[in-house]
Amino acid sequence: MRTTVIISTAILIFVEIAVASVIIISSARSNGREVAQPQEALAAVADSIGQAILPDKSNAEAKPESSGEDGGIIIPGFASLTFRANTLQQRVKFSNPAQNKCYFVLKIILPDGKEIYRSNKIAPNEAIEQIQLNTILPTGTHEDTILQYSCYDMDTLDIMSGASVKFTLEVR
Amino acid sequence: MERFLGAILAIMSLFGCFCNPVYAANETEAYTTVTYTVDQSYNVIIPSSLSLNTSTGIEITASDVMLRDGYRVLVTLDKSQLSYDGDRIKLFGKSELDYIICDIEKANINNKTSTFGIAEDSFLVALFESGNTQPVKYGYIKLRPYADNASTGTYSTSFHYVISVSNIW
Repeated sequence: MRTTVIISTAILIFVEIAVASVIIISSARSNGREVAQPQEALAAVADSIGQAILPDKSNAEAKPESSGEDGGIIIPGFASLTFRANTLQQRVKFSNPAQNKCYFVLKIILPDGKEIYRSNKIAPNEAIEQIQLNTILPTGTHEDTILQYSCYDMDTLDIMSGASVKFTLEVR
Repeated sequence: MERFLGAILAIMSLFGCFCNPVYAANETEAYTTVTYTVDQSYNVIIPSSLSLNTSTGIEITASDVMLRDGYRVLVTLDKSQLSYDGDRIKLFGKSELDYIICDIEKANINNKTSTFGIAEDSFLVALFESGNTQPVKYGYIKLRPYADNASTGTYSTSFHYVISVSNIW
């Protein structure tokens, strides 16, 4: 009799714990408290290092008409970029589209000719999301700042056609 | 005693089952709309290389051109990185003294009407509007080399493009 009572009580407790677990998990999800996605976790890791090079997912899904299959080089451009004042670490989104068949080396050059950043080689389908500047920038607006794309052959490392993207750099 | 203990445990377990969270049936929902406008962006596609033995020109196209009203993407040739003299450029061989002359002109990609030289319009070689992959002005650079009396070998130069967004054009 005693053994039966103990066994039945143990089964009841086990069932109770299982039901409570299901309720708690479903409750958390309905309140939007999902577990962090792998991409978010990757970005969090990227935050902790000076220059993060990550696979560029957006470029992998680019349309065929923007492809560089004919040997063309796709140069991504933009009109403005915002940096934080008084810090070397900056968030950006510089990428080498997947269709390219060359390395990019990027430089940021202020209108007075001062180079404030130079990247390592960026392979196709890679992106930089965090950079470290050479110098701290004060608050202000820098019209005609240049992001210079130097393109290198992936086999010979010979220099190829290049481009400079002019943009407005806002530091605030 | 055993029965009493068993009954107590059973009652405690039973009450435990009723301790699940209970939500209000008539809760109201409120929203905060968060927006962020992505700034103007584009992709310009430039040729990586060109052999004048098999082709006569460079075509410049674009993709994903997203601009505000009135703005355009301007692609110009960087004159400072080009040996340019009037409507001609130099292609160099083994040294700076070893070169051949090459006619250069720019043309509209649609009707191929061309302009000698590239200096007109401040070295503009392509102009793109929002949503277009083909330029609305120029977009094609024609090259014609003159190799008379030149020594055998390969002659080359590289083009550097300057790309910007402007509402002035």
